[in-house]
Amino acid sequence: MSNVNEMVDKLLQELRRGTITIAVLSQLEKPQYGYSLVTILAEKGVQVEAGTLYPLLRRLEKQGLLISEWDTNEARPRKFYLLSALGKDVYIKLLDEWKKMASSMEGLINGGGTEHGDD
Amino acid sequence: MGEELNMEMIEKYIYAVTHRLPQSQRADIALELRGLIEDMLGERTNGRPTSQEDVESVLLELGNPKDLAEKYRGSKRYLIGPELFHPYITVLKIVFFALLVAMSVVFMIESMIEPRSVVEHIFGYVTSVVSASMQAFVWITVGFAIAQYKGVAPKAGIAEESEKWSLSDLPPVPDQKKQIKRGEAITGIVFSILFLVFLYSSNHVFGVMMFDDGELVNVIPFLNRERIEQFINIIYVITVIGILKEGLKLITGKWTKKLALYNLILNAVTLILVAYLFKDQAIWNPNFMQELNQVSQANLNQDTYELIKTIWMQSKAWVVIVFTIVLIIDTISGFYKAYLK
Repeated sequence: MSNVNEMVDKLLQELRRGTITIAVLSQLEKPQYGYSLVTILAEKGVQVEAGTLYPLLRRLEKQGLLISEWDTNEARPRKFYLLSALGKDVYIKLLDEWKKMASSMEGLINGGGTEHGDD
Repeated sequence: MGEELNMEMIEKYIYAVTHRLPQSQRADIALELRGLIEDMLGERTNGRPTSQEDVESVLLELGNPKDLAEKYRGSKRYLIGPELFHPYITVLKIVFFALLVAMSVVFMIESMIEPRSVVEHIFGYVTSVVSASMQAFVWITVGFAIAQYKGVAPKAGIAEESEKWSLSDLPPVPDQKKQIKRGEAITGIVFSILFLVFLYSSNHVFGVMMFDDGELVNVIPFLNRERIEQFINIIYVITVIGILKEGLKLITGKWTKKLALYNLILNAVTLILVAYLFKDQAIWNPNFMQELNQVSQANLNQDTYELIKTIWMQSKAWVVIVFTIVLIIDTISGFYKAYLK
């Protein structure tokens, strides 16, 4: 049984890796700093480790999807991230694709079950 | 007191991550991580003073600093990466093997000349094999590490540069004529090593061998021992360049324009160094003819002596010329093969 769980964990990790980007982009219409984003995502049921999210934010910034700014007015200096114009466009297209993919998957899973049901 | 210890632990963790990152990103990431850790602590403590356990659990949650640094970098770092590891091992093996063979030959000749001090020879043989192997190991590793650092090999890892490609982008299967045979490169390395070892032990091995009743009794050296010792560093450099050149051929596997250019540069440097070695002919044993005459006075008549003398003089002149011609042919053939359609 643990073998099944291990396998599921491993595949789930791969599956998550692709969706985290969309999850992050979806929350950055308003500026957020890394840890607030971890909290928001966790509240909505998307668990991302800070150790994964922080490097990802930097990478997305490097790719031009996000812009960042240090806020040094508070007691703790924090780096806030926000969608760039490019980021917004990319997010809209990505979301479109995601929805298509989700409905295709839906069709596959539901349809596939009945077709082969009686072999 | 506890506060300070906690801070120290956090700083240690941040340093463990950032010192693995490029200089330009260190300060920024350190600041970001410090903020993150404080946020995570804040969530845990809810206003009560931070305990050591809190700090520990936060840092453990962030995980191994090495892994975190890798995520920030987006790739692993290698001294010698997977693409270069195979040629690296190949070059090491060839060089060690060639060193062993060359030194064994020297050892055998030495033992034949002076069978009585064979124990000393064995001792000398073992020490020189060990020290030469270590030298070779260090230099080859340094060379490959530089190649890795300079990105001679294609970068593996994230395929972010995978642009659109069409069928016409498929590289042609290398032409037989363009391909560099492993044997060719290996022979080159073996010759470089032989060159070094024979020059190094020139005074008692590299010369005319005199036999008496099938026993090797004496060697009249071709080269001037003092000069060799004086120039030993140049000889090392020539050998290293030779191995480097063959190593590049092994890595590339076929003639390219870039390789042909490297070949040209390395050959040019070699030629300059060789010309310098031979510049005033002082590298040759100045007493060669006298020694030859002394050892075999009974057998040499005037004509033979003159003949040998002529051959000796001619050879001295021709060595550099032949060396030059070989290098030029090597360079041109490199370019020819590189530009071959």
